[in-house]
Amino acid sequence: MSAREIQSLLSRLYTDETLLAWFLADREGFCRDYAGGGGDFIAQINERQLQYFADQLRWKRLREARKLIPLTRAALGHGFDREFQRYASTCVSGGERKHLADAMAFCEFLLGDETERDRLTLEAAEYELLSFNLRFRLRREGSGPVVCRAELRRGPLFRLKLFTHEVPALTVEMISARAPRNRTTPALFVSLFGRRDIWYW
Amino acid sequence: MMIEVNSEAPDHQIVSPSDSGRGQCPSWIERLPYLGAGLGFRRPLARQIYRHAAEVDFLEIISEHYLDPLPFDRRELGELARRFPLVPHGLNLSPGTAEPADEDYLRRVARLVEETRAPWWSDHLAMTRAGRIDIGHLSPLLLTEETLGIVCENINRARSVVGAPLIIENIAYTLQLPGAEMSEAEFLSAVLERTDSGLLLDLMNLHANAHNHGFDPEEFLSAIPLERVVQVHIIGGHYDRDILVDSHSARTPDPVWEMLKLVARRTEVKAVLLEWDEQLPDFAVIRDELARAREILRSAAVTHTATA
Repeated sequence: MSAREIQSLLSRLYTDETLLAWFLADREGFCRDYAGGGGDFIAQINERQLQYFADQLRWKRLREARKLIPLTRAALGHGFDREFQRYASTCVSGGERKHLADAMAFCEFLLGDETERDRLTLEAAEYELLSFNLRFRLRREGSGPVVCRAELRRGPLFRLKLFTHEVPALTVEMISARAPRNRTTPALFVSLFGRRDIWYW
Repeated sequence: MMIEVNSEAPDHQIVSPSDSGRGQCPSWIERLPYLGAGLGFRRPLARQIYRHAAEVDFLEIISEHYLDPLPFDRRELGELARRFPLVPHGLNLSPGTAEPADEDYLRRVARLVEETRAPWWSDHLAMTRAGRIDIGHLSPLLLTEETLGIVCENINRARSVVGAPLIIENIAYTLQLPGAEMSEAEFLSAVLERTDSGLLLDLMNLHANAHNHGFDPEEFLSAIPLERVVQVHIIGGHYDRDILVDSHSARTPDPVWEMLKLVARRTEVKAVLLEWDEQLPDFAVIRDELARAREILRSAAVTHTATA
């Protein structure tokens, strides 16, 4: 098996939790049914080291997302890590802004997910996503796995959103304390001629 | 993008690598400027870096942050280039990937290197992508002849596009891939010699690897061409049970300082870089570490001068 094929196999094992779980639970079956010509190579991998490395990768994605979407993190509280892991198993991020792509795609995941969530969480995620959208757009490529990339946005953007909390004025502390200001707040997100503004009333 | 560069800043001449034999410092490395003790630029540290600019000899910037810059990034880069010598440090060259190097990426790195007038640029001896998958971290390579060929081809391609010398960093790895046909030191040495590249020797990575995989770091240092060391990375990490994690989050540990002394005695290191990323400390700690690194370089330089 060529280096290219082995690298492709390794990168999937590193980033796909389902594949990794299969390998860890049934190494022989995995090597026979999935790894093909790379079975002999994969069979020799140190299981503990592999799992540790894959955990490091997941931890890094989570840690970077936490920094980029502080309001959503505060709104989800202890559930943030669990929800992010659910999201992370649905796609991988790529490109030079991979962490930003993760943050944006995670916000979209929360907004599109069927899980019942409190309104504050959804509004925090939507606010942070729309703020990123002033400069960037999210692109999804392919399947198995889906790859998300954040690209610079070209052209203008106008988006009017009605929040039931005064989200643009909220801080992490206010959200963490569950003391958001309940007030219907229209917010206008504008990107035009190089200027990016969020107006709210 | 056009970066304003301070005309009073030292003139970092771009030098092309040329053929050189093992054991002797390649002449293109000898001609590189001496930068001293520097710091990895991180935005939360910016104010302190500007305030204590006299104690920071140079800055290493993450290349990827400035390859597709927003207006703020451009202003920031211009300001940094005006005040400090800059060295771009990349994460996405991925020379170990068994695919042709990304030409668009290389062109943008070339532009950044040119506009910052960097004396050299660096990236890692690793794989960060394979096919469509961006692994998101530096992953170890299969230490085989086939991979060696791939790495050399990609590095040579990068060198032909980017107009400043490339120096290659040894990575920390917790996963050791099977099927190795040579040791890490042999692989690294072969890459450096075959591509005539410089070495960015990360001593914390070496310290962590030696601890996690049970080898003697001094033997490793004896087995690689130290005369190719251009820059050294130092920093500390943390223990996760019995694993030493290179988390860039703590003071440089004593074994790393000792290795720095050893390397600086054996070869003329051009730059030492403190690579703090997580749990950023009070800036006084950073100044203290930089002063210590600078003093080690100074003492070694005295020895080299005396020997010469």
